[in-house]
Amino acid sequence: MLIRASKDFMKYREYLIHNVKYSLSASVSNTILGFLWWIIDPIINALIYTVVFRFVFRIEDNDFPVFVLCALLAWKWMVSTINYSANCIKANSGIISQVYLPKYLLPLQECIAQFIRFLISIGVLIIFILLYGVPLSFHCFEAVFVIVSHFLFIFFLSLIITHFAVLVKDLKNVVVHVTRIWWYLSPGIYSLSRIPDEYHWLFWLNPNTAYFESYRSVFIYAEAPSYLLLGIWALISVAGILVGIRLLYKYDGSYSKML
Amino acid sequence: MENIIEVNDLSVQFRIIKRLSLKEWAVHLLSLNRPRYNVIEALNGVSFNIKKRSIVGIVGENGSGKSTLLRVIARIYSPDKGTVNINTDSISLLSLAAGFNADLPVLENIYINGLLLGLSKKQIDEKLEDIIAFSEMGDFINTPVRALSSGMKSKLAFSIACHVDPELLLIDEVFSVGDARFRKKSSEKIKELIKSDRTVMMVSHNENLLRELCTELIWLDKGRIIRQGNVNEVLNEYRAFSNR
Repeated sequence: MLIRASKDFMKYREYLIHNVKYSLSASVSNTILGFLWWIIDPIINALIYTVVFRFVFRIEDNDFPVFVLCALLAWKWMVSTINYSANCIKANSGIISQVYLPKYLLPLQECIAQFIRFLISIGVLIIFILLYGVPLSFHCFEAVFVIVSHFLFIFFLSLIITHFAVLVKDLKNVVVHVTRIWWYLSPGIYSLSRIPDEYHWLFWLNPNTAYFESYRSVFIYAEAPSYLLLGIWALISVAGILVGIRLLYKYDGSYSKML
Repeated sequence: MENIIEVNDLSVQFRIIKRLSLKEWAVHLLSLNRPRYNVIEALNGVSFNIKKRSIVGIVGENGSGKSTLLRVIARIYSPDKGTVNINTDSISLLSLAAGFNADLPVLENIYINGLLLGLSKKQIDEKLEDIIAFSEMGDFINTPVRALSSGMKSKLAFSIACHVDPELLLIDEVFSVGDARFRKKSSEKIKELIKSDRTVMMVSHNENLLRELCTELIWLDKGRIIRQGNVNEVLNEYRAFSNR
C-alpha cells in the first residue's frame, strides 16, 4: 500500500505541484488586493479578538494580539484544510468520474497549499512579535518540529474526513460546527492558566493545546516546545495517515459510483 | 499477439441510496438486518480479452452497461467481483460527460486533465496551442468551464483526449460532438487516431462507422455479453434482436 502510494505520488507529482500553485494563485488573483489578503486576514482577526478582550473584557495583557495570533494562524491552517476535505471528492466529482486519480492527493494538495499560506502568515506573526517588543530567541527555529508534527496531524484528519464525507452527506455541516466548538474549547483566545488546575489534564488531551502552546513556547516564551506531546501526536498521526490512505485506496473506485 | 485487456468474470454493482444523511446513518446503525441499499447490477459476469492494436466496438441498448464497462477499464469504477488486467498505464476515456472542474477556467482544465491523463507539464505546454486551436477555444481560455455551452464543452473534452496520445483509447459515443463542421473534423481525427497503431474500444450506435472501423464487436445486454466476434455477424444478430 505504501509502495503504491509513493509510486502514485511520483507519477502525479506534477499534477500535485500544479494544483497547489493554482489553488494559491486562484485564491488571490481575482481580488483587488491580491495576496495582501493572506496578511490582512490574520491581522483583522487578531484585531477583533484584541478589541473584544482588551476593551470589553478588560484583560490587561499587552502581548495579547501576539498571544492570540500564535494559535489563530495555526488553527486557520487546520480548519481551512479540513473544511475543504469535507467537500473535496464532491467538488472534484466532474474529474473523478472521468479520469483516474488517487484520492488521497485531493486532501494532500489542500494541506500543502494551506501550509504555504501558513508559512507566509508566520512572517506576519514575526512582524507582530517585533512590533510588540517581544524578544525573539533561537527557540523560534524549533518551530520546524512543531510544524512537522502539526502537518502530519492535519493530513491525518483530512484523510479521514475525506472518506467519511462521501459516505455521510451532511458531514460537511457537522465539521463546520464541530471545529467552531473545538476552537473555543482549545486555549486559543485564553491562556491555560485561567483554567482551574484540576481540569488541565482534560485540556492536554486536546491536540490543539499541545500545538498552540508549542507555537507560543517557541515564538513568545523563548523556550523549547513540549517534544513529548508533539512526538505522541506525530506518532498517532502517522498511524492515522496509514489507515486513511489505506481506506481511500480501498474505496478508490467506489466513490465515483456514489456521487 | 499479447492481450492488452483481460477481463475475467467482471461484475459491477451500483448501490442506490448509499450516500446517507446523518439521520439516516443513525437509523441505519440502530436497525439490524436491514438492507442498506438497492443493488443494481450494471455488469454481471463479463469475461473477454482484447489483443493489442484491435479496434473493438461495443453495441447494446441503453442501460446495458456499455459506459460502465469503459469506466471500469479506465479504472474509474472498481470491480465488485472478478478481475480486470490492463497492460498499459496510458488510458484515455473520451466521453460526452467531460471531466471538468466547472469553476475553473478552460486553460486550467486543460492542464489538470492533461496531467491526470499522464502528460508532463512540458508536453502540455507544447500541445496547448494545438488543443486550443482544434477545440476552437481561442477566445475562451480564461472563461470558467461552467459558462461554456454543452457543445463547446464536448469539443474541448474531445480535443484534450485525442491530443493525449494514449495507448488505449476508450470512446463513449462522442461521434456526434459539436456542429456539422466539427463533427467532420472530429471523425477524421478519430480515424487518424485509430489507424495509428492504437487499441481502441468504442461505444457507438452508428452501424456504418462500426462496420468501417472495427475489427471485432461485443454486444452487451443487461450487463452480460450476448455475443462477441465478427463485426457483421454480431451486428446482424443485434439488429434482429432490436427489431423484435
